[in-house]
Amino acid sequence: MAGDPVTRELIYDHYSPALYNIILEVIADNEKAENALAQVFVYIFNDAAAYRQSGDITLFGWMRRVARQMALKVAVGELGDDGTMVSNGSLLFRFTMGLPEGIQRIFRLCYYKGLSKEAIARILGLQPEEVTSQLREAMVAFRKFLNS
Amino acid sequence: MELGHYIESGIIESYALGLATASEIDELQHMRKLYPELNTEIRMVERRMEAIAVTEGIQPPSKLKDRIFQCINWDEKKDAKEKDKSNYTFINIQSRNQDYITVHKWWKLFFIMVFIVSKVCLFAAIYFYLKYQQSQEKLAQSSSRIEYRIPAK
Repeated sequence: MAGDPVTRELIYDHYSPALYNIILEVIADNEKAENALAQVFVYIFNDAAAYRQSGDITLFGWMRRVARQMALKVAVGELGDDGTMVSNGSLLFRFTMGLPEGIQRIFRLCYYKGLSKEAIARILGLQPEEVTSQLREAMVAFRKFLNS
Repeated sequence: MELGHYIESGIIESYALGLATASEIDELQHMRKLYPELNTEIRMVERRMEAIAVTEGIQPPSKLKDRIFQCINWDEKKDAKEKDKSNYTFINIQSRNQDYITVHKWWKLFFIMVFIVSKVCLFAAIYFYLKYQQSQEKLAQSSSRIEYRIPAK
């Protein structure tokens, strides 16, 4: 994957729109989102060994996690404290909007802001266990949403 | 833990979205070893998410593609240059003869220092030996003078 220019182009052409959308969900600014996408692909192509070492199963699963992490890094201090969602109409947007308000807030802070459960608990004045259980509930709901 | 219950807890989806904590990831890796069929389930979830993400994708500007590929090519050229350089460092010009050994270059300095120190010691030994002889002679002379004086009294 790392060495062959044709394979690289195929990977870029196939996955860049999906990854760009994932980044745009976290970053409001287009230019910053483009920079994040560039960093993601440079990392993916230069560090093919990282995919093998990660033990991840699908290439897209790994790329998706790398893209979100990179976007969160670029977007530090970008969005409002409630984890405002930028993109609409996407799978996650539709899922998030369907969640009950309390769980939705926790999920937004966790996914779009990349905050830890402890940090979310402090922000919302909850116990970390409550955040954990609500997030678990969100994930069960996401599983059903994905299967529907 | 029952596998079905574990899967239904949404742990795979949490992992796929990148929300799983380090301990949850460790637990999942452990479970993957115990239940290889879990890999199929993870693959199914990720493929489903991939299919949706690919259809919902937003095309990034075309200039970005050129920028990324230029950057990667530049990185590769730099790596290749570094590789070329390193070849010169690791060329093996050592003799195959088993009578020779290879040591670090610092040993050269160490042996020079030992040589200089040994020379200084040798010089000091000769110098002090001569000094000692001289003082012995002086002592012998002065004692003979004393012997000479005593009968004079």
